[in-house]
Amino acid sequence: MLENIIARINADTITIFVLLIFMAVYGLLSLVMAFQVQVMDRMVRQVTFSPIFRLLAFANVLISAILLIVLLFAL
Amino acid sequence: MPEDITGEFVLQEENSSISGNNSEKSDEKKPETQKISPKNKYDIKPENKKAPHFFSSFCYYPKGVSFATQQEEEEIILLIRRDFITNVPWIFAVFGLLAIPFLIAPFFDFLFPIPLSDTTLSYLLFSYFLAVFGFIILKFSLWYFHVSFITNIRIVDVDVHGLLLRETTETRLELVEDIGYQQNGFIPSLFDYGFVHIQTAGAQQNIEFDKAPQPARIAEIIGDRIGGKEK
Repeated sequence: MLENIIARINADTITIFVLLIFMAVYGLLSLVMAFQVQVMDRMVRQVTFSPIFRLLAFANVLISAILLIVLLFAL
Repeated sequence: MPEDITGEFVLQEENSSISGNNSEKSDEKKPETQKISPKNKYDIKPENKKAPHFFSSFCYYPKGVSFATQQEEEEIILLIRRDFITNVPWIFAVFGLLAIPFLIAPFFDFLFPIPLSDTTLSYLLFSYFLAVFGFIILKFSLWYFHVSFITNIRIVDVDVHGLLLRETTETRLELVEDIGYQQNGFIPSLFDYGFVHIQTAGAQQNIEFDKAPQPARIAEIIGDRIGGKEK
């Protein structure tokens, strides 16, 4: 069992594992950022740009989540 | 004798009688709402309100802008952010970050001797560009939400220093005692931005607009509203 795992470890696996950790942290950060944008947008609202900005912030979260899932399956 | 009568008479608007120069009643009547002085060359009429762009750092009577604690009768006179030129360093940094993968591509095998599959490389590259995108959103939000408002009632200053660190200061216009501005250095003088300092009465916290565009104009606009000319 352990030998099989060791045999499967190569540069790609290590890189994806490191990316997975990075994306988990980044995803959390982007989530916090999106909520902060939401909160601050409620404080200061500029009708012409606020929806676009919120959309961009949440798109960042969504893309992070998708990449995280893809990396999980690639491992 | 009619020849002995001297003095001046001032005709006032309706609901007021003809009074002599020595009458004190005429001095007591002042409009309750603040009006824009036609003498101020910078003023535009509120009917000409315009919606600010996403990169607007100075907007007079902005349309479609509001803030959380805004009262019903409160009208935003001026919206101020840090001058857009202050974003140039991080915009250049973004261009540099975007260029890095293309610059190191020819030397990739030399820099990373461990062979990686194309799929892993694409994941790596995609994650990198996503992080750059996040950096853009973060830097832009720090600029975009670092905003100050001058309304017909008060001055509100929202300072965003970090993702989780923000500070709001406000003071009523009648509590403002003094305004000053400062432009230090070549770049601020060239692009006309600087530091506006608003001193308030008593224990009230002073307000500072950092890297505000057209500081002289801001000082003039606030000065017009606290000096008694408009009240």
